[in-house]
Amino acid sequence: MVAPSRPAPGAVLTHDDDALDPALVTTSATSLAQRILPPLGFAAAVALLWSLAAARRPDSVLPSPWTVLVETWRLLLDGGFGPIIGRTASTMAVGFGVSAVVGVALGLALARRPLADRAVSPYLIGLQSLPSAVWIPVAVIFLGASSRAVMAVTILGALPSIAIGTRDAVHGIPPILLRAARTLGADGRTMLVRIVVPAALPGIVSGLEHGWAFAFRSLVAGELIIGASGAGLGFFVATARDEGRVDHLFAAVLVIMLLGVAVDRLGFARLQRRLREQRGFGA
Amino acid sequence: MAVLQRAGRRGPVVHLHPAGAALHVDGVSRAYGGKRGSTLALDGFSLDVADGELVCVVGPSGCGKSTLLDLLAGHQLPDAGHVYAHGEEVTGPSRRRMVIFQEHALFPWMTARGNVEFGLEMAGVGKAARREQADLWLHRVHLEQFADSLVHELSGGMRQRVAIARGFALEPEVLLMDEPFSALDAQTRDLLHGELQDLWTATGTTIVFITHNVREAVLLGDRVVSMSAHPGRIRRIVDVDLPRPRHMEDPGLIDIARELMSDLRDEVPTRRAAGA
Repeated sequence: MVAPSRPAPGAVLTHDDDALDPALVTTSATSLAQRILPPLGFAAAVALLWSLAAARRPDSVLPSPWTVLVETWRLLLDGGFGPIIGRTASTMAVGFGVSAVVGVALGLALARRPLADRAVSPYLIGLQSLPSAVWIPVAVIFLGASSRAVMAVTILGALPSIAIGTRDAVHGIPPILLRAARTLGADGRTMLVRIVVPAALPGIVSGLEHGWAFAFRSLVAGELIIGASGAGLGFFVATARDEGRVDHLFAAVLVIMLLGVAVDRLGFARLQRRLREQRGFGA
Repeated sequence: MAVLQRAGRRGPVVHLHPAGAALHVDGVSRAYGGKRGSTLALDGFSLDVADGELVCVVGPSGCGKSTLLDLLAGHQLPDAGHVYAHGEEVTGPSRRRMVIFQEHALFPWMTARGNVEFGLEMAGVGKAARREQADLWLHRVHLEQFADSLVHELSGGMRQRVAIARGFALEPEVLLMDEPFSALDAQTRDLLHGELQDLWTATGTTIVFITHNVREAVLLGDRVVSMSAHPGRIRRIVDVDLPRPRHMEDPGLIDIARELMSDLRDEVPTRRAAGA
C-alpha cells in the first residue's frame, strides 16, 4: 500500500524529498513502559529528596510526600475532591470552548483582512502579555466575586493566543497551495473550509494547546484571588491557604498538574500526532 | 532539418488569428519594484500558441519565464499589453488554464485520489464520476495502486505524476508547466518525459512548458522560445521538426540544443554586469 521509492543517488532534493522517505526514517514506537517508567522514576527521585527535606520539619510546615498522597486519596474518596475537580473541568470546558470558537473565528478573519489585522493584533498581543491575575479585579467589579467573573477571566486568558495562533497558522500556509486551489476553482467559503482550515490545522491546534494552558492557569488563579467562595480547584487552594492546610495545598498542586498533563497527553498530543502522521511531519 | 528563425520582439513570423490562437500574448510587460529600483521582468513580450501545440520556453534565471507563466495563468496581470486565451482576455486564474508547478502543490492532507478528485469536484462533477475519472487518470500516470496513499508517502516523481494527473483530469484548454521536472533525478525525468509526450499525444492539449534545461525543451517542444534576461525578452524562436517520439540521444536534437545553449552562455557576462 505504501510506496516508498528512494530518490536515486545524487538526486536533487527539494523540500518534499527532505521531508520523509518512509524507508529511511525509523520511528521507534515507544512502548507504554518506555513512556511511563521515566517520569515515574523522576517522580520517585523528587519524592526522595522531598522526604529528606520534610523529615526535619513538622507536617504543618512541610508534609512528606506520603502524607500528601494519602490526604489526596482521602479527599478524592470522601472529601469532596471529585465534585471540585468536576466543577473546574466543566468551567474549563465551557470557557475554553467559547474562546476556541471565538478565537479561531477571529484568527481566520484577521488572516483574511490585513487592515483589521493591523488594527486589532497589537491589542491581542498586549492582552497576551497581561497576566490574567490583573483581570480579576476588573472582572469582579463588573461581574461580582462570582463564577461568572472566573469564566470571563478564563476566556480572556485563552482568546488572544488562540486568535494569534490561528492567524499565524493561516499566514504560514505555503502560497503555492492557495494558488493551486484557486486555479482549481476553489473560492470563498469552499476555499476557507476545504483548503485554508485543513492546511492551517496543525498550527491552529498548537494555538489551542497554548490557549488551553493559559485558560487553565487563568481559571485557577482567578478563583484563588477571588478567594474561597465556591467550588473549584482554585477556591480549594484559597481555603487551604486560609486554613493553613499545607497538605491540601500540595494535594491541589498534584491534582492540577495531573489534570494538565492528562489533557495534554490524551487530547492535544494525540491530535497533533495524528495530524503530523497524515501530513508527514507537519504541514 | 530544424528551421531556425529570428523572431525579434514581435513574435513568430507566422501570425495566427488572435481569436483562433490558444494563447495570444500581445506585447506584455511586467515590472518588479525591488530595493534597487524596479526591474523589468518582461519587456514587450509577444507570442502566439496554436491549439494542440507544445511550446517550450527556456532561459536563464531572471529572464521572466516564471512571470510569463503567472501572466498566462492569470495569477498576475501585466503592467502593459494583454494576454488572450481563445480570444478572451485572461483576467484571473481558471481551471481552463491548469498550472503544474515545480513543487507539486498537492494538498498534503488528501490522498492521491483525493487530490485529483478535488479539481473535478470544483468543476461540478458528481461523486461517482469524480472517482472514476480520478482513477482513470491515476491509471494513465501508472499510479493506480497508490490512489489511497497520502502525499507524503509518495516520492517526488510520483507526486509530480499525481500533479500531472490532476492537471489533465480537468481537460484544460491549456496546460502551463513551470519547470515541473527540475527537482527530479535524471531517470525519473526520462520516465516522465515519455509519459508527458504520451498524454499530450492522446489528449491534444495545448502545453506551455517552462524549463531551464535546453535539451528537455528541444525534446518536448514543437517550438522552443529562447529568452534573454534583464529585461525579459524573446531572443529567438526555434521550430523543432524532429520526428516523434523523441529521445535524448537523437543526433538532430543535440544540434538544435547546442545552438540554443550558446544563447544561454552568452547570457552569463550580461548577467554578471547586471549584478545578477
